[in-house]
Amino acid sequence: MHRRDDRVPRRVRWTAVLVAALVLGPGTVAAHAVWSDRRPLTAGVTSTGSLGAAASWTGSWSAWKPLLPGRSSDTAALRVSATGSGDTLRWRVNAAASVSAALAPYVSTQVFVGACGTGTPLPAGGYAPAGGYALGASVDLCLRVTLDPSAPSTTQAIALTPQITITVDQATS
Amino acid sequence: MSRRRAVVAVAAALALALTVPTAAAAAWRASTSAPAFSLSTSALAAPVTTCTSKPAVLGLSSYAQISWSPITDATSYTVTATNSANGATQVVATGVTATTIDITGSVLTSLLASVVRALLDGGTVVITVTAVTQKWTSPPSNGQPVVLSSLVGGLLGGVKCQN
Repeated sequence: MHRRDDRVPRRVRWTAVLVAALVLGPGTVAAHAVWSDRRPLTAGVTSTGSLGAAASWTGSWSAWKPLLPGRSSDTAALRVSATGSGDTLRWRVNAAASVSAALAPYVSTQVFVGACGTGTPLPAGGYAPAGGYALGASVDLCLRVTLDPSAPSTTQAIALTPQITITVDQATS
Repeated sequence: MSRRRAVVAVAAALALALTVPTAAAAAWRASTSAPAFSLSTSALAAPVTTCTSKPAVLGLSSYAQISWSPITDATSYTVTATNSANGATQVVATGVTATTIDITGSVLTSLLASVVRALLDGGTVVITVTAVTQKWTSPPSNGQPVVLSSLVGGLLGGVKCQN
């Protein structure tokens, strides 16, 4: 009896297994993939903050009178505020005053926080309440100018041209 | 780690530490100037004087009374006599707080001869007043010339305003 040889050669059999694995393998992986989705979000705009300074005169100038030897003259209130942005930004104020060089040897200046004489003399390192001033807050300064009693007679009727430079520093503590 | 690598690592760490700003150095600062304003020193105005001749009474010789209006911010006045002929000047009084002074013969004769000589020579002595505060002095007032009241009166020390 003739018997057909149905045996598949080993090489062919292994090839078939490999092909099946290649074909079925990706499908199996896809079946095991975790679902995911991707959607663009509208990001909020963010930026760095900023810090600026502004100053303007307010109140009465009634105490601002021509200087005499040994006497003082007080400005109106100089209202200082910090401009800019920053939710947690705090600041401290400082000021420096100067007068014309011709009278500088005979003139002294003092800046007060609040009213001249009754306010707090501005410390050398500036002034701020505990925690510093918040943006939007303001502080009033006053400048007192005093002419020395020893000023000679030649210092009569001379313009002083005072200048005040305000500095606003970020309070870091 | 080799020694070379360790040295490189330490150097890099130092460089990084030096370039990272501290909190204080990173603080923001802004400046502005106060709006312009002006101030000047004051000045003492010159007094304006008048002279009134006062007659001799009860044995007192005639004299010239110099008056002036008070000057704002002046704390005292200085009265000066000047020989109109040669310009020699002598201070009659300092620290005067009143606004009048009586110029008598005895006041003038207490001055140096350079001033009194003007009277004896028939000339005049000009009285001026300056306002004073601390070291400041005003310009001199208008001058008030005084002369001997008369030859006889002059011998008795009397003076009068020339005008």
